[in-house]
Amino acid sequence: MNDWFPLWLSLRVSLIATLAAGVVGVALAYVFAKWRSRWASLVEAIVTLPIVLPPTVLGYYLLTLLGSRSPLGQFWESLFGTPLVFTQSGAVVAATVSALPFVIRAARAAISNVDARVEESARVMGLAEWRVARVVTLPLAARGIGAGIALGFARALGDFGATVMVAGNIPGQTQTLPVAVYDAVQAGDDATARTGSLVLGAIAVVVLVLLTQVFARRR
Amino acid sequence: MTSLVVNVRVEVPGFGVDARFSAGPGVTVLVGPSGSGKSLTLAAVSGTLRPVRGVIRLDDSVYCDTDRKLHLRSQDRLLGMAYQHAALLDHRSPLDNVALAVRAGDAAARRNAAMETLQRVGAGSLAAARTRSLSGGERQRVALARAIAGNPRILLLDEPFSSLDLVARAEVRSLLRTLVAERQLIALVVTHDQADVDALADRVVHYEPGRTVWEAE
Repeated sequence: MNDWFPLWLSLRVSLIATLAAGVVGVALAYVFAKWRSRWASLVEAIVTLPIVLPPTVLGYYLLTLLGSRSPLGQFWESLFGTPLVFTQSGAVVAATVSALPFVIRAARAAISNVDARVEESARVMGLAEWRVARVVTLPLAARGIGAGIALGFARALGDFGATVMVAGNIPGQTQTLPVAVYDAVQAGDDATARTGSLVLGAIAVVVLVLLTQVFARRR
Repeated sequence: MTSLVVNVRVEVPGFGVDARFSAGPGVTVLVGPSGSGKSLTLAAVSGTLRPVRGVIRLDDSVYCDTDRKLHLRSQDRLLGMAYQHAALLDHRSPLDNVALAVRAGDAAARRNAAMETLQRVGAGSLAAARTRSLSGGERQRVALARAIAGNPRILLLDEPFSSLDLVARAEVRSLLRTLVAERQLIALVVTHDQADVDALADRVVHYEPGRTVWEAE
């Protein structure tokens, strides 16, 4: 593989997406864990939908929602002067939305599992709600949150369907590594497909090993 | 004289308790069989559970009055608590645990106050220890330091000695008595152990399943 652009783009896109999904996902997970109502369940179902949707269908929804003719797409264009779809920003959005439910699911479970009595005793000590979250709840849920973020990263790195729909497949511009592998196979370029697949596989193994070690150490 | 008045009905699914007693400075021990509603009463006093009806007040401060739809947040009641099940934060040092409960001052002042409180309970040398590796007696000393660090007027203790061996139990009991007398605290202690009653109680509130039945000096 002579051109390493797809790898660097994939890493950059998935790191930014993981950061965004981590911040938004943990905040949403906290709200879902603490706020029990029918509305919360509905919103939760909608934001975790990408887990069960075929990635291309998710991509189609995003394309419709963010395309140049949509209100959101036009709003983006009025802010930044360029369209969102078929750009690297579009790839980040697709990867973020794909990763988000993995972060939310894991973080929500971890936050719900924190012993409510420990949180209550912090309130009795006089800690305001945001300090209870920062000092007690989130540190005690850190293991689950970390696992969710790692899974989200793996999902963002490996996304194909949503990315190709929203960001397209423009070599040197929006072509991420999974898309490049697909392209190489289509073109009969076995060497590139093999190298790209090995690199993606190696990164996945490293993430899983790190994840296992973090679990083992904290247990 | 400072007085805590509790006259409430507290319910959780499948169970309710009518608790009615008053407590002044000193140790008031709540005794009775498991499941009689002692810990629920503490939850109502701490503000973590809303009574279905009744009043809780400390002198003129109303903590809860269901008729007037008043319910003071836990943070605004001047309480300290040391529960067996919700003891210390293991991911924080003993000093940090205590400093979290100090209500006034900047970070440095809070740490200084926490250090003084740890020294007061004879746990100054444990300030930087790994919380996870403290012994039962050490944990309970740090928990007591944390409970008094915010200068509370009421101390809530739920089975505070149950995980301790006999020697540690006697030490922590004696420490509790000293602190309560020194600071004129109203301590409510939930226990199953008659020895706790004998060693600590200025006042006893006796529970049967679902209600308080008598109180005595």
